[in-house]
Amino acid sequence: MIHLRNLDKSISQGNGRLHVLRQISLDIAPGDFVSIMGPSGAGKSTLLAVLGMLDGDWTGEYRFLEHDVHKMKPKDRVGLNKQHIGFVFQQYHLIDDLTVAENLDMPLSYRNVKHGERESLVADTLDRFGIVAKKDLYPRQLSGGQQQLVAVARALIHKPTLILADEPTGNLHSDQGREIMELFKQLNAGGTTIVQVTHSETNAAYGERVIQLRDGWVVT
Amino acid sequence: MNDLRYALRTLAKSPGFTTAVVLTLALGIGANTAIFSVFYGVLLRPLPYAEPDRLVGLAQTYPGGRGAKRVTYVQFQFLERHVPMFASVAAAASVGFNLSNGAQADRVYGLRVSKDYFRVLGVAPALGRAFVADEDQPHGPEAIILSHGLWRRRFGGDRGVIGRTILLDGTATTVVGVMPPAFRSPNGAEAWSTLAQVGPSVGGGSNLSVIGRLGSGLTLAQARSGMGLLTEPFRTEFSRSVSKDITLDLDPYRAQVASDLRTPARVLLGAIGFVLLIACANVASLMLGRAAARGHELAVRAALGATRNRLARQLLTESVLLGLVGGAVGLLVAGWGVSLLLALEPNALPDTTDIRLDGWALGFAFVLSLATGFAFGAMPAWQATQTGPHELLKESSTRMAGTARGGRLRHALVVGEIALSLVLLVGAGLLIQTFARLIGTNPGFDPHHVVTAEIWLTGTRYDSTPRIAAFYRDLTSRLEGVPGVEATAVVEAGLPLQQGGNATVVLDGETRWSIDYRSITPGFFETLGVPLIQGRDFTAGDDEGAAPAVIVNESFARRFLADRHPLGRTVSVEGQWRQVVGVAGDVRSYVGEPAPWTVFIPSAQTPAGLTRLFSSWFPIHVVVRTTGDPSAAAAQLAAVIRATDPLVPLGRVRAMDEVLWTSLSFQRFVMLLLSAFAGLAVLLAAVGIYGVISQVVAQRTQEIGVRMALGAQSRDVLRLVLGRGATLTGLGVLLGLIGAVALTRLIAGFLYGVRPTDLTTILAVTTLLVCVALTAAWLPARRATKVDPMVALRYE
Repeated sequence: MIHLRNLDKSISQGNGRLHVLRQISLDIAPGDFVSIMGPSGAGKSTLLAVLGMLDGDWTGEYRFLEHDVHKMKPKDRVGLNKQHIGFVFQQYHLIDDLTVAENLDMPLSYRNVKHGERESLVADTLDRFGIVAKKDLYPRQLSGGQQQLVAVARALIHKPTLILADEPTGNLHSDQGREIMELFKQLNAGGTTIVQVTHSETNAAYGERVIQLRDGWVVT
Repeated sequence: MNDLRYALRTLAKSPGFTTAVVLTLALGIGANTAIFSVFYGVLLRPLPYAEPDRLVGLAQTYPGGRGAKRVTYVQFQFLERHVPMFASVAAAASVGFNLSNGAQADRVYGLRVSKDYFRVLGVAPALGRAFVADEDQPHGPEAIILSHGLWRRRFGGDRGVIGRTILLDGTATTVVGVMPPAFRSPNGAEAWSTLAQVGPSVGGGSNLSVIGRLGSGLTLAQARSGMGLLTEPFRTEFSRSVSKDITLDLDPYRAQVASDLRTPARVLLGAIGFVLLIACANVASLMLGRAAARGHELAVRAALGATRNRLARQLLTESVLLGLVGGAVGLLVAGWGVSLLLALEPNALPDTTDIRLDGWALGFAFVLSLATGFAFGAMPAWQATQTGPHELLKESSTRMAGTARGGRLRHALVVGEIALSLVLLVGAGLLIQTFARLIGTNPGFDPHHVVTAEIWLTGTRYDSTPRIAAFYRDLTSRLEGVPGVEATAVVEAGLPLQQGGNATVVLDGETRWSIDYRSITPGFFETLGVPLIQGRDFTAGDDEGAAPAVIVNESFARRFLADRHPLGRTVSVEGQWRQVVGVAGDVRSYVGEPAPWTVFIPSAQTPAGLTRLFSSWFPIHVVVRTTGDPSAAAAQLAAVIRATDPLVPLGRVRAMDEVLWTSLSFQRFVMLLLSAFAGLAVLLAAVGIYGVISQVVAQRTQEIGVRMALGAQSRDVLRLVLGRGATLTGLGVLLGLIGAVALTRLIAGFLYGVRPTDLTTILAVTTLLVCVALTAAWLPARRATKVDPMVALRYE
């Protein structure tokens, strides 16, 4: 599904450049559950942003499904992202002024899904995640775990083939974190490819493979 | 719909921001809509006549400019015979009428018109009929048509007025028609009578304006071409009275009616446009700050699949919504603005002006609201979509990455606001200087403690010079007996500081056209405080039996009599040779212009026909110098006039100070408006700079905390923050000065005694603006000095 070859990313810093990712080469197959681990500043979140096509400033080769992402225009990358990828952020990043239902609806509205179909998908998702009673509440009225649940639901509502999760349980209690990881496992069992960035060995154990990053290099 | 619903929700969630934006926009859009209403009503609204675009007026091009051409009655008759390009043509002369029912006399403004006048305008009387050919003959039956307002006011709206005989200037005249309520003539005429009866008098001079309705299918260009062909025959026919340099032409009647107002209307529209730009810049700055604060939300949306266009659409929905709400509130401002404008200066506007908030004004406000919404929303929308979502989503950079770029844009906007404000301030300052100089200009006489009253003498009771002279003697002797009266006189053909009559003067074998003319009683110069430079004033002995005398003013003597001693020279005034017995000081007709060449003749030697002629255009003025309060003297003056002859119509009674003040009313109007715009602009710019510096303080709170923890004092922090404010102000002032030098030339025509690049004015207003801007920057800078270093270091 994902093939990276000699992927490099650096940013300018004073008179020189800071290398954030160096010569990254890796493969992720459909249905994999991969954890990316490493110390702070290793480039984990940056790698995830590159995989999710949120960051286009890099060199090297990136092949996603049958597409040469490194040859695509930014607009086309956005289209590919919209079609296949769901992103779960550590800080949930729910929109404070939208209700739970409206937060779920948002990614569908950006994918030109018709209104009636959107309503149906939102209702199904609310039901699937057991948050129907919370549909008219605002994020500030939810606990951290509930917010992350909504964020995961939002990432999944358009049925992506790839979930990218950046420290999905980083701001949660251990019980809440366990719930989220169990959910990921279920999704993976259903065929969804999951790539997560995590500091937690416990969370990494939910996956079947770990990629270690140090100073921008893949070490394992 | 999602975007609209979300926009409503987010704006309602920020009432302070929303209120600030809506009020700023309401001021800008409302003021612009009010000025547009005036602009449209004065210059663009079709005249209230049938097919107004088919109406044209006779014009001329002449070395020195272009303008409406007035003709004599004989010249009009020539044109009437030779203009096939018109379906109908008519002439009109502004006059005043004395309407009397035998017991009471009223003065009304009217027009003497040729028979086809109403046919040209395409408007028929609502009652009765228009004039017929027989009535427009030198000895034809006298007929009058009333305005709707005069009919209701003077005749009680009685439909039986048609066919009734009234006294018009002492002559029995039949009322033949009443015009519809909406009909208006440009000069505010309330009555119309036929022209032929006064052709030799009123039409003896170039006092008739000619209008025509274009023939069917004929374009203006074609009509102009035809008119051009008529120029040479016209010059040949009237070679003794018409310059060989003139060319006859046609102008749309609409353009002629308001030609004097075109430039000031455009200047005001441009100035208020500046205010709107400043308002938009302020709002754009607020929106930029708000977009920066929402960078995180926008990044999330982008990460979830929103394209840049989609994000921009969402932000523009908010800004357009704000624009529309601001425009709606602005309509209230516009309504008040129009009322205020009309209250300030109704007299400068032609009577055909129809100024109101109608569909055009609403449409203008709507389009402006949309345009401003896009204008101030576009920049934040563009800026917000420039940063990639990944950077914005990083926790530490969420607040900073977007604001750095947005901060530069806000700074640029504030610099622009200051520049525009300075341009307006310089313009206002120059007009204030102009007005001060006009007020301080010596008009050539002493207006203080002088009262004037308007009267008219027409009809058979005053149809001879001795009768008129007797009335003046009786009136002035009664006035001299009033306690407090120092001197009194009567003057015909206009007061100082007003447009007056002019006469043909011949001396040394040369004819001089359009010399200012006044007919006066003895004591006129003493009453008005005009110095007599040489010779003597008129006396009671300068009557019909005495040698015809004339007094000239200094400018006339300097121009025409400088080669020899002026006293004793002979000058012909309107065909009567007279001896110069005195030279009087110059008196201005317009404060901002030099005194015209002027001749004065004794009223006791003025032919009754001249009195009658000039009375049709200008009131006769009784002037009184009093030791006491002019307002008390005014009441006494009115009482004495009524006692002398109750059938003499009495017009305005007012102090000469008021006449002086009124003569400057238009300049005062433009000055007040531009000053108000400039004041508003400065206020908005100050708010803008306050906002930007506040943002700088918020952004640099941590840095300020660190500096203070390392030993920086309050003054060091002030210098740091104020330095930014001073830099922005300095850049704005520099741009503004360049703009001011370039643009204030547009108002050069309004200036008096001051150049468009007057250094004193520019320095003064620049200093004012810098003080205001630095004060606005000082307030948040002072807040920065109160930062607790330990709190600031925990910030973020």
